[in-house]
Amino acid sequence: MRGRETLALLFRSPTAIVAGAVLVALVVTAVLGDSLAPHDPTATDVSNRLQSPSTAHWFGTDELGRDVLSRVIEGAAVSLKVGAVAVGISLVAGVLIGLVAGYYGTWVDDVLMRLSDVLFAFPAMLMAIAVLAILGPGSTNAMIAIGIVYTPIFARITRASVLSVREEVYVRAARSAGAGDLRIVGRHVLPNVTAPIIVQTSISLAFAILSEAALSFVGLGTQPPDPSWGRMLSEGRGFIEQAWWMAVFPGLAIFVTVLAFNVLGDALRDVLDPRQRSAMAGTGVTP
Amino acid sequence: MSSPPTDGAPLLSVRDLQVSFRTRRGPARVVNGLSFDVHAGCTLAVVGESGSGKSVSSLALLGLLPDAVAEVRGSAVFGGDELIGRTEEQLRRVRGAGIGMVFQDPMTSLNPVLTVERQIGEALRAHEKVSDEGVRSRAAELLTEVGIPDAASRLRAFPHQLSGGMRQRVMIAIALAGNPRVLIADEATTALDVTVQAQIIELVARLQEEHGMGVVWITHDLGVVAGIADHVLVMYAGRCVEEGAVDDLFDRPEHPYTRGLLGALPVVDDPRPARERDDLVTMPGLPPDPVDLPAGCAFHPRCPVRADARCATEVPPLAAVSADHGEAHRVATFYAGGDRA
Amino acid sequence: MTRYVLRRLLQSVAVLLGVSILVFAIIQLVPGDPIRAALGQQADPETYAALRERAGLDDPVPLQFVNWLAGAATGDLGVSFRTGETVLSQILARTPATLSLAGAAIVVALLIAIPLGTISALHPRSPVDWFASLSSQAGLSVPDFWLGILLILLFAGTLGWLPSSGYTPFTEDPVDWARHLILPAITAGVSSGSILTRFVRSSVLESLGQDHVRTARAKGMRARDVLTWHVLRNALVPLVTVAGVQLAYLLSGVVVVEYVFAWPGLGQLAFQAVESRDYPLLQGTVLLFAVIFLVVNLVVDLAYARLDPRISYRSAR
Ligand SMILES: Nc1ncnc2c1ncn2[C@@H]1O[C@H](COP(=O)(O)OP(=O)(O)O)[C@@H](O)[C@H]1O
Ligand SMILES: [Mg+2]
Repeated sequence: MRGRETLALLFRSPTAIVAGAVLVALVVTAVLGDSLAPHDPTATDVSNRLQSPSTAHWFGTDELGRDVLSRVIEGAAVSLKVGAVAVGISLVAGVLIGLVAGYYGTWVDDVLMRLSDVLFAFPAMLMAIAVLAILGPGSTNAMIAIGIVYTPIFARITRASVLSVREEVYVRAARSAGAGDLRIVGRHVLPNVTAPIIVQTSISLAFAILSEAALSFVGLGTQPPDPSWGRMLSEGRGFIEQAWWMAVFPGLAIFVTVLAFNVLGDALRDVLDPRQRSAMAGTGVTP
Repeated sequence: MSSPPTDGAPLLSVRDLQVSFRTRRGPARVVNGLSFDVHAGCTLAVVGESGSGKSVSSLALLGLLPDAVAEVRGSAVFGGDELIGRTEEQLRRVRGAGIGMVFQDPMTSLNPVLTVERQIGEALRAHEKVSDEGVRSRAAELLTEVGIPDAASRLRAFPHQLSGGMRQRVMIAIALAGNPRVLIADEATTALDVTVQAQIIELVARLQEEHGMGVVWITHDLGVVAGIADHVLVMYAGRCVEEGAVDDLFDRPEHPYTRGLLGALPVVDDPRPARERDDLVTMPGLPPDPVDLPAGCAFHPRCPVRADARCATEVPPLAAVSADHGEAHRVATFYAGGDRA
Repeated sequence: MTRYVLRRLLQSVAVLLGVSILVFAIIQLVPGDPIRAALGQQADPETYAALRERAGLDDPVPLQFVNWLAGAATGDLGVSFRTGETVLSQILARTPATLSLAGAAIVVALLIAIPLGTISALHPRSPVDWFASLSSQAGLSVPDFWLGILLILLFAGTLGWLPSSGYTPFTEDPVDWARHLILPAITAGVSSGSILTRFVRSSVLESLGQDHVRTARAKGMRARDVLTWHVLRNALVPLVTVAGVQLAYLLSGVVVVEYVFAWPGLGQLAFQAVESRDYPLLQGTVLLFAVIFLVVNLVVDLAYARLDPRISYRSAR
C-alpha cells in the first residue's frame, strides 16, 4: 500500500531514524549473537568473578565470572523472540476477535466487548502471572501469557476501525453487489484498520519486551541457563553493592530496546494515523 | 482620510495596518494597508466576505494574534497612544477598559466551566480592585443593563444553561464591564437566529447612545448594516475597496465588489450578456489565497467588469468619488463608472 | 443523578461477577493440589482430608463457586489455605501500605506531569517541548524494576540518604514512613507521570486554542490569570479521568515495584497467592482489584461532573 510514502515520511524525523537504526542493530545482534559476543556467554571462570568493567570485559563479569557483555548480547535474541511471538499472538487473536465483533455486531459484539471489559478490570501484570501459574514458568509460556494480556487492546482497536468503516458507502455497495463477507473484509475493511494496528504493534512490542523482562525478573519467565535481560537483572540485584554493572547493563539493554520501539511507534502514529495522536497506550481504559 | 461625521478627533485612528502570518507555504498577507477612524457616538460597519481579514484586523489592534506567527505593522492611535508595537502589559490596560470586544460565537467564547458572575467579575477585576460584594452588585447591574431579567439568579448560571441570545447579552455585559470607549463587535449576531439578531442590534445601538461609545460593527452581511451604521467600509483581501456614509454607499455603490454584495449589477458599460452578469449576485469564485495574492487589483480574477488593462498589474488607489454630507465616498477601482484614476 | 449512580453500580456488579467467574475458571485450570502444596508432602492424611473438607474442595465446582459468591456477598472471602487467617484480614492488613504507595506515586506523577506538560504546551516545538517529549518517552520505556534498583544504588547505597527497602506504618513513625515511601513512590510514579505529561500537553494545547481564552485576554486579564483560570482550569477536567485510571492501576498493586522494595502491599499479596496456589486469597485479592478499578472509575466520572457543569447524569450518557 503506502509503504514507500510512509518510509519517506518517517525518514524526516531524526528520532525515528535513530530508533530505526537501534532496532536494526538489535536485530543484527540477535541474529549474529554468538559470533559477535567477545566471550562464551555461559563459560564460567570463578577466578575472574565480579570483575568491574575493563578492556577485557567491557561490561564486567558476574558472580560466576561470566562476561556480562556476551550475556547481554545473547539476551537480545531471547527478548526480541519473546516480544515478537507474544505480539504475534495478540495481533492475530485480537484482530480476528475485533473483526468478528465489529463486522457482525449484535450479541457477538456484546459478549466479546463485555469480556474485554472484564479483562481490562484485571491488572495486566497479575493476569500474566496468573496465566504463568497455570501453564508453569518458562519463556514459551511467557509468550502465551503476554500474548493473552495484550489481545483485548488489538481487539478494541480493530473493532473501532471496523465500525467506522462498516457503514461507509462502498462497503454497503460491495455487499449489495453480492460480495461475500470474506471478500468485503479482505478488500475494504482490512486496509482501513492497518494504520492503527501497525502503530499498536510497535507500541505493544515495547510493552511485551518490558513484560517479559518483568516476568523473568520475578522468576516466572525465561529459565536458566538461557540468558534473559530480566533474569540477569534480578541476579545482579543480589550483588548490587559489590557489582553494580551486573544490574545496570542488562537494564540499559531493556530500556534502549523498549525506548526504540516506543519512539518508532510514536513516529509511525504521526505519519500513519495523525488523528490518534492523543490516544495513548495505558489510557485506553476510559469509556 | 474620511472626514468625521461629528466634530472632534477620532477615538481610534488606524493607518496602513498590515498583518502577515508566517505559514509553511510562505507569508500569508492577510491585511494589506487598512485605514479607518472610529468616532465617539458613531458606528463604523466593516463588511466583507469571510476570510477578507476583518477579524484579524481587529485582533491585531489589541495584540491578540499569536506573536509567534503574526507580524503586524502600521499605526493605530487610541486615546493619543500608539497601540502597535506596545508591550503586553500596556496593551492589557487597553483591552476591556479602552476597547471592548464581542465575538461571534457566544457558546465557545464563554468559558463553559465558570459561572456568569465569575466571568463578568474577571472583566471588572482586570482593571481595578473590586470587593466580592462590589463584583456581585456591579455584575447584576450589567446584566440588567443588557436586558437580562432576574439578574441575581442568572449570575449563578453556567453558559450552557442560557439561550444563545442570552449568552451574547452576557458577552456584551463582559465587554461593557471595563467601560470601554470603543466597542468592537465581530460578527456578534452571525450565530443567532433572526429575531434574536434584531434584539442584539437594538441593544448595541441603545448602549452606544447611552455610553457615547464608538462602535465597530464587523459583519459579512450587508443586510444588517443599513439599520445601524453611520459609515461603511467594504473590505476585500485585507484592503478597503470602498467606503462612505451608509446612505451613499447603499444608494450609489461604485465598486463591482460592493455592487456584488448588494446584489446590484453594474449595468453600465458591461458588455456581457445578462445571463452571465447575474452570476455576480451570488459572487462566484472565492476570495484570493493570502499566501498567493493576485497581482494588481486583488478582485480582478473575479471581477465581471475588468474595464481597464491596469486591473491585472496595478493596485487601484482609494480615491474620492464625491463628498456628500461632508463625508467622503471613496473607492478603489479603475472602473467606477468613468476614468478618474 | 442517583439513577445514574445506581445504573453504574449495577453494571459494576455485572463486571465483578464476570471477573469472579473468570478467576474461578482460571483456578480450576491450575494444575496441582493446593492443600498438598500448602501442607507439604508428608502431611498426615487426616489433617489433609479435614482441610480439603473445610475448603469445600470435594464439592462440585459450580457449588464451590456459589458458596464462595454467597460468602463474598456478605463480606466473607474465606480462609487462606496457607496461613489459616481470613482472607479479609490479610487484605486489610496490606491496605495501608498499598494506599500509601499508590497515593504518593500519583502525587509524584502529577508533580512531574502538570508543570512539564504545561510548559511544553506553552512552547510547542521548542527545546523544552522536545526535552519533555523525550523524557516522557523515556519514562514510559524505563523498566520500573531497573529504575528502582538504580535509585536504591544511588540513594540507599552511594549516598546513604534513604532506606533501600521495607515499610513502616504511618501510625508507628510518620518520618520513617515517609523515608521508606520516597523511592518506591518515585519508581511507581514515573511511568504514570510520563503518560500524564503527554496528556497534559495535548489537553493544555487544546485549551489554549479555545475561543474563551481569547475572550479572557480581550477582557484585559493578566496572562497568569488567563493561564490559571481559563487554560489550566479547563485542561484539568479531562485530566481527572486519566489520572483516575492511573490511580486505579497503582492501587491494583504495582507487583514488581512492591517486589523490588519488599513493600508489603496488595500486589505482593496477590503474587504470593499465585505462587503458593492459595486460591481463596487469590480470588479475594483479584476481586478487590476489580472493585478498586470500578469504584475509582465511578468516582472519577462523578468528579468529572463536578468539574464540568455541562455534564448532567440525569439522562443516559
Ligand atoms: N494564525 C493564522 N495563521 C495563518 N493564517 C491565518 C491565521 N489567522 C487567520 N489567518 C488567515 O487570515 C485570513 C483572514 O481571516 P479573518 O480575519 O478571520 O477573516 P474574516 O474575519 O474576514 O472572516 C484567512 O484567510 C485566515 O486563513
Ligand atoms: Mg471573522
